[in-house]
Amino acid sequence: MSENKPSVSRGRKFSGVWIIPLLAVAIGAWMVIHTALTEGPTITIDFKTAEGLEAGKTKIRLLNHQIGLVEAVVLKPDVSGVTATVKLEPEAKSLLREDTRFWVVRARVGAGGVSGLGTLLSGAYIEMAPGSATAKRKAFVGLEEPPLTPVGAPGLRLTLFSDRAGSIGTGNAVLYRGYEVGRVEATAFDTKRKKVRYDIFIDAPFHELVHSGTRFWDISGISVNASADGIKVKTGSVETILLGGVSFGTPPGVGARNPVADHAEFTLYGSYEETLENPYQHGAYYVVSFRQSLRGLVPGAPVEYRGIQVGRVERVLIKELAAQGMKGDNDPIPVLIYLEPGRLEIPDSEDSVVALRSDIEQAVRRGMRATLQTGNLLTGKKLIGVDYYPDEKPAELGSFENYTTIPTVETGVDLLQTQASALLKKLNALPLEEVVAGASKAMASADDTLIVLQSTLGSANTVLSGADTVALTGELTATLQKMRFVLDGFSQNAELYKNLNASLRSLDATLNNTKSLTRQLSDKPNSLLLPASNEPDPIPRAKQ
Amino acid sequence: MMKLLVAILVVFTAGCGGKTPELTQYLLRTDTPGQITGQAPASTGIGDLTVASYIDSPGLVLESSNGEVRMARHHQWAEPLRESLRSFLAAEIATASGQAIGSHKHRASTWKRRIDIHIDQLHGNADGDATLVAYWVVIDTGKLKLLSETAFSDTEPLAGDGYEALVRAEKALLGRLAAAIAATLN
Repeated sequence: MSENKPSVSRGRKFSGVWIIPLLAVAIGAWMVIHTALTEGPTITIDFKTAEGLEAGKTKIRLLNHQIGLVEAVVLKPDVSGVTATVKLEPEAKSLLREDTRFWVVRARVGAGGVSGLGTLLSGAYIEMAPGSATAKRKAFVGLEEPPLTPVGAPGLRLTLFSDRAGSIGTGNAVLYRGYEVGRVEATAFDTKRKKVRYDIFIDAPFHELVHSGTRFWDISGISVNASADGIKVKTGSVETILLGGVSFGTPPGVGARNPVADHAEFTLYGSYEETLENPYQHGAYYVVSFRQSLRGLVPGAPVEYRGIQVGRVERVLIKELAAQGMKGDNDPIPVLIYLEPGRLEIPDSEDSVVALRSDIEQAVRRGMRATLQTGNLLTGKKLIGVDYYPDEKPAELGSFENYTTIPTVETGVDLLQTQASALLKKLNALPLEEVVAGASKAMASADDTLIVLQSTLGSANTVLSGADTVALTGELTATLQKMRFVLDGFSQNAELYKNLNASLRSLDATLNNTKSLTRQLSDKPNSLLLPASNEPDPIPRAKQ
Repeated sequence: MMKLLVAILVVFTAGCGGKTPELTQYLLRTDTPGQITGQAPASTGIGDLTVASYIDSPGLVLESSNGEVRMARHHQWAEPLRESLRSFLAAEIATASGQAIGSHKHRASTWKRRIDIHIDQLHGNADGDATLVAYWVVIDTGKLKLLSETAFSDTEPLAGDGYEALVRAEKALLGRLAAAIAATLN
C-alpha cells in the first residue's frame, strides 16, 4: 500500500503580486521627498491693511521679476492688521534673511510726486528687497511706505538734530553745492533731547565729502534779508523751495577734518549764516563775575584771549543770583560764557574740551583772569577778555551753581575811573588848610624867631614827607600812565580807532543808501507801485 | 469829472504806445569739429549737469556795478542752458582730451568714469567781463569712488559792446572750463 501522502512544500516566501504596491509606495515617497526638496518656501507678511492684496492674484516681485504669489490674506487675531501668506519660488529661498523687506507697490500721490501709476492697470503687487544678514526668517512685517534707500547701498547714514522743525520731510534732498547727493530718510521728535531728529543718507562716493568739520543747514523756502546794502533774496532749487531740503559744507576756518563713522550725529542749523556764527560743536561753560556795570554786554558778545575770539557770552545769570539771595549791595554779577576749543585750531571734540578745562585750571594758578572790556566806545558794546596778570596772587577755580568760575580783575576805563575817584578822596582828606594857615601866621608875626620859622617849616616838611603824601605822588604817576594808555587807544593805528573809523564808514554807507532811495522816490513817487514797461535791456559794455 | 476821465484815458493809452524791442536769441554750439566719428565707445561721460537757479532761464544775465543782477528780456538763449551746455561741454572736453566723451545719460551704464558738473555763475558784469564759476567731480562708476573734486573760476573780457560779445566771451570761458575738466581726466 502506497501511502498517498500529500507532499507539503513550504511555498515561495515572496509573492510577485507585492511588487506593484511596493513600487507605488516607493514612487509616492520619492514624489514627497522631491516636492519637499524642490518646492519654494511659504512665508507670512504682516501689513496694517489689506488694500491692494488679493489671494491668488497679488504677485511678489523682485526687480520686476515675479518670484511668488499671495495664497491667502487673513485678519490678525487682535484685528491690528492682516497677515498675507505667500508662496515663493524656490529661487527666492536664499534671499529670505532677517533684514529682507517687503512693501506693497500701489499708486501713491504725495508732495514729492506720483509713483506706482502702472499698478492702476496691472494691480498692486508686493516688492521684495533682499537682505544681507546671515540669520534666516520666514515671518516678516511689511513696510507701509517704500524704502528710500536699498539695503546695503554704499554710503553714509547720519543723524541731524535741530531745535525746531522746519519744512524738511522724509524724502527731501540732501545737497552739496546745489547738487543732490542724498536724501532724508526719516524725521522724528527726540523726547529725551527735546529736539527734532532727521535721519539722512549720503550716497557713495559723496559720503567722502563728510568729515568732522562738516556743517548741515536747512535750505527750505526763500530767505529774504533786508539791510542797509539792499535786499538779498536766496533760494535753492524749486524742489527745495516747495518741499524743503538740507545742504552741507565746510565753513571757512574749520581746521580739523577727521573722518566720521556711520550714524554720527550733527547739528542742523537754520541757515548757512548760522553755521558761520556758530561753526563749532563742542565747548565748555564757565562763569565769570563782575562788580562793574554790565551795560553793553549782550548774549553772543565775544570772549577774547589777546584779541582772538575763543568763545561767546551766553547770558547774565541774574535769575540764579537772585535765587541764591543777594548778600550785599556790591555782590558781583555772574555771567555765563561758552569757550570753544575749535577756535584755537585744535580738534573740535570732547577730548579737546577736557584738555581745555585742564589748561584753564593750570592757567588760573599762573595768573590768568577774566576782565570786562569795552569793545566799541561808539555803541558801548562790551566783551570779556581773558589774559595773564602776573601781579595777581595765585588763585583756584571756584563754582557757581553747577558751573566752574574763573576769577576776574578790573581793568581799562572802569579801573581808571575807580582809581581817579580814590585819588580825589585822598586829596580831600589832606590837612592843607591847616598847614597854609600856620605858615601865614608865622610870616605875619615879626617877633617870631627863626626857630619858630624853622619849626613851622619843619612841620610843613613833616606833612609833605608823610606816608600819605608820598603814596599820593606814586598814585598820581600811575594814574597818568593809565591815562596815557587809554589815550593811546585813540591813536590812528590803534584797534579802537580802527573800530571807530569802520563804524563811521558803515554809518556813511547807510546814509548814502538812504539818500539814493529818497532821490528815487523824489524823482518818481510811483516807482514802488508801477513797474517800468518796455524798458530796453541794459547793454553789456566792453572795457574802455 | 469828464475832464478827469479823459486825462486818465490819455495816461493809460500813452503807456501802451511804447515800442517793444525785438527778441534776439543765441545758440550755444561748439566751434570745434567735436566728437570724432569711428572712435571707440565713450568710457567717460557727463553725468549730472546742473546750473544755478538764477541762470536757469532763457534770458542772458548781466550784473551791474552795484551787484544788481538783471535778466535780459530781449536777449535770450535759443534753448535751455542745461541742454546746450551738456553737448557743448562734451564736444569741447573730447577735443581737449582726445578721447570720446558721452553726453547722453542713458548710455551711462557703459561708462567707467562719470563727470558731474555744477555751473554756479555765468554772467556778464559791469567791468566788461564775463564770469564763470563751476564745480565738478569725477567718479569711478565701477568702484563708486570719488576720483577728484575741482572748482573753476575765471573771467573773460568782452571784445565789444552788446550781448553778442557777451555770448562769445561766455563761450570762450566754457571752452576753458572744458580744457580744465579734460586736464583732470588724465
